[in-house]
Amino acid sequence: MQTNILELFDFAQSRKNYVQGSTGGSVALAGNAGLARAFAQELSDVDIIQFALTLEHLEARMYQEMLATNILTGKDLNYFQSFGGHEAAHVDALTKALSAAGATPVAAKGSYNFPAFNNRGDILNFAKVAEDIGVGAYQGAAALISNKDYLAVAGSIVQVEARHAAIINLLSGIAPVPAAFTASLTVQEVLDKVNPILGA
Amino acid sequence: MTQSLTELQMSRRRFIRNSALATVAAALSANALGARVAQASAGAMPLRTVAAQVPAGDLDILNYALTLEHLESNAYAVANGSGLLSGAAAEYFKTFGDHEATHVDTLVKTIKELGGTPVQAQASYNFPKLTSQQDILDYFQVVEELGAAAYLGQAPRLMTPDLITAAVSIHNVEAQHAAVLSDLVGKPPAPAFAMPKSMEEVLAVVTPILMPQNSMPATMPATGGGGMRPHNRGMSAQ
Repeated sequence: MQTNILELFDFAQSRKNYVQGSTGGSVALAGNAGLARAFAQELSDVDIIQFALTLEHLEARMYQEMLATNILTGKDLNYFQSFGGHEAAHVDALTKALSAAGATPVAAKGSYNFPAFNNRGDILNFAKVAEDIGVGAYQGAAALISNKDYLAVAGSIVQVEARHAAIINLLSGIAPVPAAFTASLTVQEVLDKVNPILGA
Repeated sequence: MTQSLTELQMSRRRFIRNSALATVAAALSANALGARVAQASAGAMPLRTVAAQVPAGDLDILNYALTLEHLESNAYAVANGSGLLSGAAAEYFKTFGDHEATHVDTLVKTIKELGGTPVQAQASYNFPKLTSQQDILDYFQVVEELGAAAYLGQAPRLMTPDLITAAVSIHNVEAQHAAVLSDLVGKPPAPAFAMPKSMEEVLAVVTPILMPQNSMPATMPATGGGGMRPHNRGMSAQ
């Protein structure tokens, strides 16, 4: 199931350059309009939610494994317990949405290729990587979603991922909100980042 | 889109006697008109094609967002000039204020490019009197939460893909500000799911901040043009 979804995203991405060449972004707030239209033709809302669920499974498991190290304490621990709970709630919500849409929700993998979590720095660094991917993935996919109810859910979730990212920056002692805009990631950019973690 | 405009018109009727809000309403009206004109003249003016493709409802939402960004940007300018902030808070407030100013600039530029008329900042705002760093943190935590909820309420109502992406991006940053401020005031920085607020819910909160004070001359223009600095009527160092 998951492999099929990823292949589908690959297929859609292969059309990116062709379409982008013919429809450049033309407003000041240019995102990926050409790309958005290209994907909108290739990907259903269900495909996009499956992809989001794939990422949520990854994040939920990541927090589980980080918490299981018993390395985190105090404020770190409180926030990571909370954030892990959020990701688990996102998994549940997206799973139910897919079931309601008549689709078979993608399952979590048996294991993920996370880096070693040997100390607080390892944990904070990778949590930041994962949350930034989550923000960029949802933001990049938002304009591809046709159903406005799904878009509202995606917006609700991406806001939470963005908050996690800011707080992890804060815990890491770096600028918590580094820019006036969060960055979008294309599906291919997301795949390039997560495939090694998925073992795909 | 139709629903958006209807809601906006309802809001406009409700608050039309308020001169400050009337200015916002006028600007919103001008924007809707601008988009329609662009649409009508698209054939004769190919350069306006982009504007013609953007529904009037989208421009209304951008001006609503700009109204909030003006408020936030001015609030940060006042807070940063108050002399009440120190340490990490002072550092964050400078950065966050820069972000809001960037959002204002970007929205103004975009609305113009799409054939609309950007709403202007109020000459002054009725910010509460905040006399300590804690007061300021508490107030801005609420303001940023409101901003994030306002964007979340409107993003799904936008019809233009580019604008959806941009709105989500700005929305994320407002939420990040809110998360950091929540941390500073000891509140949970993130729920499992963020909740939206409708335009009416948001306007109900911000209208008193946009209203001129009773002491202001009744004939004073509600907006004196974009270049005026906010009066330091609220947050002050005294």
